[in-house]
Amino acid sequence: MNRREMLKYTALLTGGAVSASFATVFLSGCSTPADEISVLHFFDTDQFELVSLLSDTILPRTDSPSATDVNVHHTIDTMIGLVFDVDFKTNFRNQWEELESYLTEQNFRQLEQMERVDLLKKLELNPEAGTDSARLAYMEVKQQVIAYYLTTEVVGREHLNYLPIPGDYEPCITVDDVNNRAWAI
Amino acid sequence: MSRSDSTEFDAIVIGSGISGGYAAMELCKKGYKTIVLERGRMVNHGEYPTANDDIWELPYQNRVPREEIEKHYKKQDRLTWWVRQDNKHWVNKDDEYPYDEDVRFDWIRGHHTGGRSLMWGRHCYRFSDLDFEANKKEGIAIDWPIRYADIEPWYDYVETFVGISGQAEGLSQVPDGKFLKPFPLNCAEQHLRESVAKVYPDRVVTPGRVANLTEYDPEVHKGRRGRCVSRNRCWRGCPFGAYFSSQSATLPVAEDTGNLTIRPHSIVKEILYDEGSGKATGIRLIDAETKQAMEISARIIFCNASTVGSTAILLNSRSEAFPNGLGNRSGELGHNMMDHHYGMGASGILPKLENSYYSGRKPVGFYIPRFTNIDEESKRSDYLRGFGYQGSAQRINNIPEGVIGRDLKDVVFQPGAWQIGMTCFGELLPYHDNRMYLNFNKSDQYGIPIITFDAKLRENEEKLREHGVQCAVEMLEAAGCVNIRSSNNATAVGACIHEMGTARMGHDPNTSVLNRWNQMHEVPNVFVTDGSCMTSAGTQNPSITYMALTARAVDFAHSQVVDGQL
Repeated sequence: MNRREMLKYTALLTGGAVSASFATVFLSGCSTPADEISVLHFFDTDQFELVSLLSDTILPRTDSPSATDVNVHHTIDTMIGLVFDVDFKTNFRNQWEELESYLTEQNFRQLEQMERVDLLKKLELNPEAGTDSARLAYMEVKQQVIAYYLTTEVVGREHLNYLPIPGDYEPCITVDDVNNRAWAI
Repeated sequence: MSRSDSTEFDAIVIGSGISGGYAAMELCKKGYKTIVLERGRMVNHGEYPTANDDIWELPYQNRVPREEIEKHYKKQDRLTWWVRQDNKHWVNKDDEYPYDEDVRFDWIRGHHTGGRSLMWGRHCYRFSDLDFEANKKEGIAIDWPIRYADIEPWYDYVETFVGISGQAEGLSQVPDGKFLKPFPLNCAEQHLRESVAKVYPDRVVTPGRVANLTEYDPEVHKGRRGRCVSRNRCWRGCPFGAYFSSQSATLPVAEDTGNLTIRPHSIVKEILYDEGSGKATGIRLIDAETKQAMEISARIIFCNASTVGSTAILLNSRSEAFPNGLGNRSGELGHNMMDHHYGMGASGILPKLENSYYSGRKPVGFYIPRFTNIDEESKRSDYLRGFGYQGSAQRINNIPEGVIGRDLKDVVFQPGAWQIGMTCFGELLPYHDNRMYLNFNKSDQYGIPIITFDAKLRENEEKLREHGVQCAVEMLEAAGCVNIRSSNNATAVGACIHEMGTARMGHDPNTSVLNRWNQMHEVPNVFVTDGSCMTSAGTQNPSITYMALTARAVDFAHSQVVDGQL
């Protein structure tokens, strides 16, 4: 949506003159999204491939993009590498190594998508003895994959309900009113 | 709002935040040539760089990289929800604004025009006589020199201009105000209200009362205001002017009078005192850009540099007459530091109302006013005073356990379960030993002594916290929540960003710094109307009280000028 459209849209929603300072709203414009990240900050190349495979096993491409289609794997690497604190990183690295060994033992890379799904489901719901750390690493990755996926522009604008300037707050609607789609932001 | 080379004014206002902006507006409206001194940079209304950014436009998921945190925000980031990409331009860098602490103190402030009025939580609850009488009844600290009747008309006055959305509930502990229509409770919040009312009739879940315009009347909401469009991005600065800030409201109205001068980059070092007249003559400031000192004189000085800022300036204003700080013969200046304490509460999943949703992102959820130690029936034997809650209900992401792959793709775009959470805010008593002081052996880059904090929670607070957590869990249980998680991690003083009390009001100059009009007992042309004036903390978010006291103090100062006393 360009700026002109957004202004028009807002006026429709809010019934015209809402604000003495309305024109100032878009003066500051939009910031540029961060450049696509081309270097790795936490994982090595092999590990990163595994992260990518995990991401797309959790959220594969269907009629909507896969996790890696919207760069979730890079976001995970960047967030752990540059944003999270040392304690988290140390802890996660230990757990990750367990997960990596476990998945290697199970030939995860060579499996079909359905087999990968089954393996990860089992790790989450019925873990074998000795896989506690691997499971924790997986749960962390899963949580991050979904969280970052839902906050990408493509998913937000095209697959969730994107309403940048809602206007009135409606306290109670039905999920059918919005086709059972969650709000993007 | 122009920068001026003039050094003589009718009035000086130190600080451009929520109370300074109000003081400036009231003074300008009464015809006083007023200069507002702001230590930070100029920020005009609309200069809110992240206001329109969606989450995907903010780098690092809106978080700030570790390296940058370590370099600039290590202390600020101890408050883990605070430093983000979308607000960091309003956050002081630790390396530029040093302070010391004998005990951890989270000093969260913004040194820019508008101060914390840009980032505030906007909740506005009136104090009542339950608060104003508490110290006297319980023999704690000193008595407030005012009662609700003194401030009630001033609440009416400022609330009308500020614009407070809220719902009248007829509760004596948080009196109803001049409300615009509330942001209604959503289905889950309404369910919580009804369930709690059944089991605990004295606990009221009401829409939070916030300074966001649900209705906009240009004749009343002057300045650069507009109706709230439910984006819930207030702390970035609102281009619609939908919430109250110095930029959106008080400063433009002050400017329209033609009486306002605002001088950014002006770090007030001290207030100058003349023993002959017994009054302050003006201030000495350091220009943050040139590091040059200059003096500005005025007939009236309003000190609104924030609780800590104002107190530090007064402590640093030493003369033969006041060797321990201006107007500090009582020795109370810097003592009785209060805040609210939190880090306690509960959240749970509500396995109901699956077909209900909401539209829009309201900038507030619910509030549960204090309900203990209200009367004989609610009296507690284990602690004094009480606590209130802020909370909200929303539908979280839909991530069923063990579901991944195509099956997850089918459901992940749907709204997930309802989650209800509430955070408890407790009163901190005014302890003389909780204090801030200046370290005269160490100074910052402007030659100003370093502020040092020494304040902590004590036994009464610990007891109160236990009950606060317990009651939160009880209420979620009453609503039928499952997977209830509670927490009780005591915050440092300052963490609630409601620091107050270090230049308290009182009847007696021997035990207080300010009189009932926020006027210094010992220096009649200096008024302090920010949080430092508070004699007790209540449980209410305090800004609206500062605004009411400010408007009242300006009115009083003006009457003194008219009477020839100032």
